[in-house]
Amino acid sequence: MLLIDCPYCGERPEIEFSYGGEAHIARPENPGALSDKEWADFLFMRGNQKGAFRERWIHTQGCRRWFNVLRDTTSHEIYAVYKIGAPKPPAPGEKPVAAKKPAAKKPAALKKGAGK
Amino acid sequence: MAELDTRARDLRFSPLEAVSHRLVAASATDSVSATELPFTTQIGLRGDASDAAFVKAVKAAIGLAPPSEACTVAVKGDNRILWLGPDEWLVVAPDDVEGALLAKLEKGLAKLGAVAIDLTGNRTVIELSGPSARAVLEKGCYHDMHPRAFPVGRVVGTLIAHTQLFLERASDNPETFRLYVRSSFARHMAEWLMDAMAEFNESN
Amino acid sequence: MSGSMRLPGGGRIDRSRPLKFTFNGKGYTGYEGDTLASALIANGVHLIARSMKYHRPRGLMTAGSDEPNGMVQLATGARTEPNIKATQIPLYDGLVASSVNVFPSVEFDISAVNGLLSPFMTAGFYYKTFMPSQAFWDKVAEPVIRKAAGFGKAPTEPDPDVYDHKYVHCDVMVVGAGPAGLSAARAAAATGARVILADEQAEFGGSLLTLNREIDGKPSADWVRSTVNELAGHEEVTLLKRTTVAGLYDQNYMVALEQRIDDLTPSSPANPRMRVWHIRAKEVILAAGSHERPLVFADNDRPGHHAGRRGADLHEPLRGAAMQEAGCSSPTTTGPMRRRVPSRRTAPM
Repeated sequence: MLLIDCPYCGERPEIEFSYGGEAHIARPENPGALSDKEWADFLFMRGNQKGAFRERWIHTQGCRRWFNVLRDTTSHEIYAVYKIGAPKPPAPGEKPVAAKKPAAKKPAALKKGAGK
Repeated sequence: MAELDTRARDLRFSPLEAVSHRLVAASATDSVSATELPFTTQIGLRGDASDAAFVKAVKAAIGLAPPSEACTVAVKGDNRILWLGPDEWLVVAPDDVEGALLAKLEKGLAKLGAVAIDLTGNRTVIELSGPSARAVLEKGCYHDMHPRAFPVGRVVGTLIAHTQLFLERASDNPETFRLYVRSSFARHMAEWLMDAMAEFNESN
Repeated sequence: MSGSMRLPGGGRIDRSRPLKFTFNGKGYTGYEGDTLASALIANGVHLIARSMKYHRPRGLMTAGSDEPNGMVQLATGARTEPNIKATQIPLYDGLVASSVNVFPSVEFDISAVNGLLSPFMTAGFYYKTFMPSQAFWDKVAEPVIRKAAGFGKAPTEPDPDVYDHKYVHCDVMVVGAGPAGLSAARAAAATGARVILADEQAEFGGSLLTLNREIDGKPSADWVRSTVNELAGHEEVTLLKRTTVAGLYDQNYMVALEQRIDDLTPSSPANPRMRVWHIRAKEVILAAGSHERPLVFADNDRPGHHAGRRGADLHEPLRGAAMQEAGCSSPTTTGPMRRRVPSRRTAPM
């Protein structure tokens, strides 16, 4: 059982949390403008990475807040925990991401990893 | 109105009233005992702790500021405010059928974009007290309840016996925990506690 | 024939407290402090089990949880448990145990013929060997193989016992209470840390229970006693005997099984038979000791051969004698007894 460091409550056992799948998948601003394929990509297609993976968790039984976890899917090691909207901490071997200015809005584009 | 309130008070019953005598029987005075603290008034608060006006309004109504530190409880007399989340608290106060406290809070928060909502009856409170209280809870709770990790004045939302609750350490002498359990799960929790306490009751 | 192989003194048993037990329907006597394994050897019983496939005779190899051979069916009725290692069963008065997977008895086992026939089965004991026709398989081969296969019998009645579990946390978890584990636990406890020390034996000390060494200027047995006493005096130290740590999982999460009642005492919610401990530790120290790799030679699996876990120390009393123990044995906790194990076969060392 994992020990997850809730950014609000501190370290708690996994049983208090629920899993929310891959993080940083932005909902398209205008779903109606998407083709079926683009919509299906948004809805179903996930990275399913082996190794460092950014995922969402919610502290269901505690503070009931969503947050992001950077976890290794092979070793279960948790590299970082960060609040929704906070800058992404780098994965091991990854360069720290410089804080970017919000990109200009692209109409109805699929923005994977655009941050929530 | 006042007459109606009095009648309501006579008719109501607490979630564990039916098993209160069994809770007493299962308790062992020198090791661990469980009792229900029935009919507390509970009010849910949502607001911004960094907003001075919100803090002031809550303080004016209850005499306590909502604690901004995570997992802590503010206590004054019989009133307490439990931290539930970064913008969420639970006010626990003595029986208040007339709803005076809620009215006061609602009035103070009206124009602040904050919310006070009556949650009385959502949860009942079980107080577990005695030198073996922690050992009883360890049979069903994953949370570390050692005084170093969980001192007096802390509260956590967690699970005991697969049931969500807020767990507060109310005192160290004797070791006392308050379990804020949803009313519909209270009987289950009471039955589980009686079973877990059996190990510490000499008469078994 | 109580203790025909038993030395008059020494070891970790209480000779003033004899215990009666039954193995394969025959009555024997052992002593308080014996394991079923040591009591059987003391009574001259070496043939404990049969191997699974060829039903070769099997005796006790080791003294602990690494035992590969000495598995027995423990107790009867609703409390019966298959495949319990005889080396891990503390003897109690009225214990009943039997060999598993034998027919009609462990001494004369029909399936042992498999071993003699094995040179003719080039593919090994492969099920298709027995399928010349569907009818032969259905009527003859399958029922016979099913009877011969498997280890032990599951109870058919509901379990009358009460079990329990517990979730605990600590700063330092020490697995194994031998010299290393005890030292680690003592050092951690001295800092005021919350410590849990677990050992699967009924007594703390590990290898020091049978090795007589000197530690801190005193005999090792005294050192163990004083260290355990010191640990018991710390408020934040939890000592778990008869507790096997079964797994170490993510972020130092462990599961351990504590055997709380070893005899036929009825359990109750106030006194559960076993307790599962779910442990979350900040630091884990694995001091579980080592298991010996047995020497390889023909027929090293036959009864009377024991792994020499304790190494050269134990060779001393046997040197010059006909060595039947590969590396020398520690099949029991009753130390001095092992010198008298009768020799069946001499293995080159």
